[in-house]
Formats: sequence, C-alpha cells, structure tokens
Amino acid sequence: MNSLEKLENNSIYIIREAYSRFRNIALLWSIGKDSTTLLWLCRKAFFGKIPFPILHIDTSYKFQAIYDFRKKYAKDWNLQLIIEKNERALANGMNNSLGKFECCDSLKTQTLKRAVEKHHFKAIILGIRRDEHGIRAKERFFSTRNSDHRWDYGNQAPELWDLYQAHLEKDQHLRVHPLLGWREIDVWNYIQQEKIPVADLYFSKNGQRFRSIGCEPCCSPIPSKANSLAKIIAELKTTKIAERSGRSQDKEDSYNMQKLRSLGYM
Amino acid sequence: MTINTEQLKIAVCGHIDHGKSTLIGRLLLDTSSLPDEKTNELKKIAKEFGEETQLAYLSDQLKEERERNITIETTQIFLKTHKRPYCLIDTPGHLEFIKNMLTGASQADAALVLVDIEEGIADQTRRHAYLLKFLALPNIIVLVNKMDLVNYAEKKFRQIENELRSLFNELDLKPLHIIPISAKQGENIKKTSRRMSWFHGPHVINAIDNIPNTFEGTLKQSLRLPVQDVYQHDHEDIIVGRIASGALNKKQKVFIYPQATFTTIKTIKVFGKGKQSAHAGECIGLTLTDNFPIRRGDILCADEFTPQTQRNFRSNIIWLSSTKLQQGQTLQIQCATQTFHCKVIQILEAIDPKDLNISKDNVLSITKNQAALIEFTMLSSAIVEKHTDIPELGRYTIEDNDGLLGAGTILAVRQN
Repeated sequence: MNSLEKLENNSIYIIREAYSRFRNIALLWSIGKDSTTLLWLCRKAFFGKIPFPILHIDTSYKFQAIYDFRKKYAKDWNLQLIIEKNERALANGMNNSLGKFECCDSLKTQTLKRAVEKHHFKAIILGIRRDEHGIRAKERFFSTRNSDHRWDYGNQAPELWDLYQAHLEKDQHLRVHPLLGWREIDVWNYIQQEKIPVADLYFSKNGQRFRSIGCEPCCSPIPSKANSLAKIIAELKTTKIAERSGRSQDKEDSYNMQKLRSLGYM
Repeated sequence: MTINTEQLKIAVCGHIDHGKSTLIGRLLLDTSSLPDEKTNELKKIAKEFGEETQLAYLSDQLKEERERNITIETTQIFLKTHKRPYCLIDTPGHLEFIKNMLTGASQADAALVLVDIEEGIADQTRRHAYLLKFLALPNIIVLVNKMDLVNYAEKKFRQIENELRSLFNELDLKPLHIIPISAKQGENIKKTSRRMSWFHGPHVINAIDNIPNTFEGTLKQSLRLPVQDVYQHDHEDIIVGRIASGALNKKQKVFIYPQATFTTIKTIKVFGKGKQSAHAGECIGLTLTDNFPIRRGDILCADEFTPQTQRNFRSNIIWLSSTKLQQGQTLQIQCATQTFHCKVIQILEAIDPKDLNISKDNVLSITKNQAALIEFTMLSSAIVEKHTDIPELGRYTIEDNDGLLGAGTILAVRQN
C-alpha cells in the first residue's frame, strides 16, 4: 500500500467511524481544495451516496467562482446541501473593516454554532490539516467541543492508535478531522490521482494564484506560474511561502488563530 | 512522482540534548531528502565553512522551526532512502510527556532512542523506554550518540551498552540494535564507520531499512475483518470495515463471529470500481450471499472460531484515570470495533512512572499514569489477538461512560 492509499484508507475509516458513532452528523464544506477532497472521500466511504448533510457556512463574501462551484457540484453529486448565514449580522453591515477577528467570529464561528444547535448535529467533519497552522497541529482526529464550542486544547485526552473517543456530555459535539495527517502536497497528489475538481482560483492567471481560499476581501494570491496540477505539485516541493500566507485572519496578531479556534472557529 | 512503497513511521525519542535534531538533520542530509534550494544553500555553506558547520546550520534551523512553532506537539519530518519513504515523528520532551508521547508514538511503526555517550541513561531515556514497552512497538533501535566526544572508544560504548541492555531487559524489551554513532560527524549513519571498526553491527540507514514492515506481517495472518457498520443501499446490505489481517476474495467462504455461521462473499465494493480481492489495511464494503443480521463489532474470519466467553489474556496497560484500578474490577474494553467486558484477575506487576521501579508482589491496585502487567478474563464474546500478530485486535482502550480510563496491548491469549 503506498502512502496515498494509506492516507485514503485511514480517512475513510475515520469518516465511517464518525457516522457509525452518531448518525446525526454533517460535513463542513468551505468549497476549498481540502474540504472538497474530504467530500470526495465521503463519497467514496458511502459508495456515492453521502447519508448526511453537507453544510456550507456562507459569509456572503466568498468568490463568485466558489458559489458557481457549489452550485454545479451540489447538483452533480446529489448533495444534501445546507447553507447557513448570519443574516442578522449581515443586515447590520458586518464586514472585515470592522475587524477581521470580529468578522470571522460573527460570520463563521457564530453561524456554525447556530447551525450545530439548529440541526442537533452530534459531530461535524472538517478538512483541517496539522501542517496548515501551528495551533491546528495540536488537534486530535476526534476533538470534543462544549456547548459554547470552546476547545480546551491544554486538556485533551490522549488519542491512541485509531481508537477514537466519542463520549459526549449533553450539549457537547465532536469535531472530526479525517485529513489531519495529510500534507498540502498529499492533497494535491490525491486531487491529481483521483481527478477531483477544484476551483479555478487555485491555478495561476497573470502570474498569480490562490494557495488557500477563504473570503474574497481577506484573501490575497501568491506570485506563481503554476497553471496545472503538475506545476502546483512541483511548486510545493520548493516553495518557502507558508500555505496560509495569503489569509489575513491568521496574521493580524499571532494569537488570533489560537483565539479564534479556542472559541469554536474551524 | 508516484511513491510506490509503503512509508514507515519512526518515533524519535531521547533525552533533551542527546542529539535528536542533529540526527534528524544528518539523516535529511545523507539521504538527500531536502529540497534542491536547501541543498544548494547547504553546499555553499559546506564549501565555505566545512561540512560540520553545514550540519549545525541545518539542525539549528530545525530547532528554530520548532521553537517558532512552540504550539506544535509532535513534528513530522519526511525522508526517503533507496528502500522506502519514512516519516520521523519527533516526540515531545516536556513534562506532559505521557499524553502527548502516547498520542504521537502510538502512530509509529518503530522507534529510534538516542542516548548521549557521556551522559548515559537519563530520565527521559527511561520514560521513553517505559512508554515504548507499553505501546509494544516491535522495532526499537538504540543509538549511542556523540561517540566523537569519547574518541570512538569501544570500552565506553560497551559500558553504556550494558547499562542499556539491563534497562531494556528490565522492561522486557529487546532492541533490534544498539549502534554507536556520531550524528555530528556522520559516523555509522549511512556507511560503516572506519573509526569504530570494532563495531560489527549495521549503520543507521541499514538498520532502519531492514525494519520489517508490520503491514507485511498482518498480510500473512489469517483473515480478520472487524465490522465497522452496515449500510442499506438499493435494498441491499453493505457491510463495511477495514481488513485487520489477511486477505479476502470474491466468492470466498467466511465465518461470522460470534454468530458462528458460514456465508459467502458475493461482491467486494469500493466506490467507482468492482474488486476481485482485498487485503489488510483496505477499507471495503461487502455484500454476502446470505441475509444474516450483522452488526458493528462482529468479525469475519477465514477459519472457524468457537465462540467462548471465558478466555484469558495477559496485557500491558497504562492507567490514565485519577480513580484507582483494582484487582477484581470489571472493565469495558474497546478493541477495533468490538466492545466487551473483562475482569482483572491479577495485577502481576506495576511500574512506577517516576523511578521506574517495578513491584511484583501483592499489587492490588494501580494509580494514574502507572503501567502494569495484568491477567484478564473475558466476560463477553470478542476476538483478541497478540498485539505483535494482529495489531488492530491486540490493542484496546478502557472506557466508561465519561471517557478514557486507560489503554493496553495484548501479550498473550489463552483459551480456558
């Protein structure tokens, strides 16, 4: 079994484990490359018919290309798509000029919280990876959140082998991370191998491409000539630029990501 | 580029300053596992300042990377030899070591333990050895580092080697090799050291390349497929699970435990393609010719198993709960997808995590973070195996309704 096959099988095992422990779960789809890869793995795990909803937390500030992608594949893959927005905050004019932390917290974290409560989800499957960000490296494959969605990262139980802990107290839910052990390059190699569609924004146009995609106002492209999967993979082997360098919410202050995540951010 | 061999995961253990980053830097350099840009940069440094400076520069960079990312608990480093790709897991050295090292090293197939020739066995060496015992990692290689500081003296090495052997003996561990090295000078790393011609064992790359693949071991075992779930698709039951050992073929007869009935595999399903056969490690779906009520925790086997509720097994455990574990106590166990109960018959030995003293007589209970050797009897039906034969059925967690209490690895299984 090669490394990609091993990663694929481990991820499928984790996805099936989450569904087996709690039927009432959802996949969080940001429509970027990681969560689309995860969606692909879910399709594989359930033989093409994902038995749970696909949740998109829509800040309304996503790229048009992302909305087009969502529309096309929700239909093609016959997804049970749930779109949630923080309508009240948007009506009050929430945007990143009021503070990146505030905007992310309001439009993403609070919306996710409300969606979990509204649909009574016991577990949310997310496509985060350890190598993306220092604070994400602390994650477990199965990670408990309390009713406030707080993450007590200093006090997590050990996670041994592939025996995942799924004990929940009332109002707790789990975050499940099947891609935690994947590297950025593994994701791209897998996208190439499986021919998984991804948004055009990842491919170079006029000497620039997006390496990580979030909301349009808070994302900047990197200089790159990589206009194909093979070129992206080649670029990753030599680059010194961090993957999320174009994501401004990570950088505003160095504790922002830690603060956001401890309060329930993905 | 396609990687066509299986990656081996190695936990790198050892006391602070016994040379973990220097070794990792040396391995990256000697296996040419660095990106071109980095290699060119290092070549330039080597040319100007000498080879030693080049390694110091690289290991300082690794250290700095780790310090900058102080939140990272375990760092993973990737390298490749002519034989196969590796993932090195750098295990944490700080106080909360038990939780974090268990989480990191339980993902590893093998371990490298570094010991400084001058300092000898230190606290962290003992603790790591003790956790490796518990995890039952079958492949441990000990590297006695900084041999350059003692002028490559055999006498000094033999002395430390003896101390190490008795430490590992006490813990009932048998390292594959104890190798004298200098990570800094590159001695015994990728070629046999001329300065230590008195040593006849392998060099490091040779030693890691010869670590048997645990996966190949499980392939040779008899079929065990723990059922993970059953999905209803188009009026058909699809049984899903990951094959723990052996292989299976379409139209093969299989035995279902604990129902104790035989059936035949109708189809093997993987999304998007049909399959004639599947082997250990693969997550698959199956349809069967008969319509038995199959549930999570059932096990498909190639051969017949007599369902028994009374079987004993001997196991190393680590206790993580603040309430004591007592002799005679009944525990709930999760092993692969099975949940069953068993009773503590006898605590044969208990190890104190602080001084690693082993108590063998009349141990009636153990406390948080203690490891112990325990004889269990099973109170409900399940299939367990020796951890070294079929890892997935030889390791387990102990849980109650509130969460994790402990974990164990099985050393021997006995039919009553």
